[in-house]
Amino acid sequence: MSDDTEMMKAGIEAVTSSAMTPVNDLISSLFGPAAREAGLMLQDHIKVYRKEGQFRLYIRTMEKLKALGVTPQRVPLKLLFPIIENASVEEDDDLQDRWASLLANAANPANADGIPASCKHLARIVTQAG
Amino acid sequence: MQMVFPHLVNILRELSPRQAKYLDALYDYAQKRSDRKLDRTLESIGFSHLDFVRVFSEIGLARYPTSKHYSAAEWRREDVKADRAEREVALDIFHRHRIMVEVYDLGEERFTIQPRQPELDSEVHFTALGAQFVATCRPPRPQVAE
Repeated sequence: MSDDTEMMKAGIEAVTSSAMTPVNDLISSLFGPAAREAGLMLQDHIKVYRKEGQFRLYIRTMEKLKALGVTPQRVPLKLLFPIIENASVEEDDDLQDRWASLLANAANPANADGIPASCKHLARIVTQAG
Repeated sequence: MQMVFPHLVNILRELSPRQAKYLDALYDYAQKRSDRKLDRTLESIGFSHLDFVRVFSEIGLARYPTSKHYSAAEWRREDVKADRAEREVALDIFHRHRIMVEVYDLGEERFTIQPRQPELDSEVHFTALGAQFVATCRPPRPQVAE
C-alpha cells in the first residue's frame, strides 16, 4: 500500500469517526478560509427565500382584499409579525393561501372591532333615539 | 364576520398540508349537514368514526378509500393501518387545539343494560374556536347585511 493510500485511509477514518462534528466544522473544512463567506452566502439564500415567501403572501392577500373591494386596515403587530414569519417559510401552496386568507381577514375593516354590523346598527339607533 | 386573534396563528403553523385539507373537508361536511337541518349550528353536528373515514376517503387522502366500516380482514392491511394512524394523529392535533371535542352520550338508558358495562357513545364536534379558525383561513367574504 502506498503512502498516499495510507494517508487517504487515515483521513477518511478521521472524518467518519467524528460523526458528531458540528456543521460549522464541516463548512470550515470544505471551504477553508472562505468559510465565513460561505456562511454569509447561505444566509443570503435564506433571506432571499423568505423575501420571496413574503412577496407571495402580500400578492395573495392583496388579491383577496381586491376581490372584496375593501381598503386594508392596520393589523396589530402582535398578529402581523407571526403571520409574516410563518407564511414566509411555508412551502405548501395550499397552506400559503391560508396564511394569506388569515392576513386578509385581519386586514378587512369589517372585522375591525369584533362587533357585528347588526350590533353597530342597533347601537346607532339607540344613540339617535336617546 | 371573522375575528382574527393571535392564537389562530399558532394553530395554522402546527398543521401539515394534509391535516389542513382534512380539517377543511370536515368543516364543509358539518356545514352541509347543518344547512340541511335549519335549526342546527355547525358546532352541534356530530361526527361518528365512519364520518371521519368517509371524509378522509372522499377528499383523496386515504391510501385505501372506503365509505363503509372496515372488515376484519381490511383492518389487517398495512394501508388501512397507515390511514388510521394518520387520521388519529390529525384528530389528536385537532383536540389539542380544541378545534374539535369529543362528546359522550351519558343518557340514563345506557346504564340500565346488565350485566354488560355501559357503552358510551361518543361523537366529535367542532368547537366555536374550531369553526372560527377554519372560516378565518378562508378568503374573506363580503359582509351580508344582518
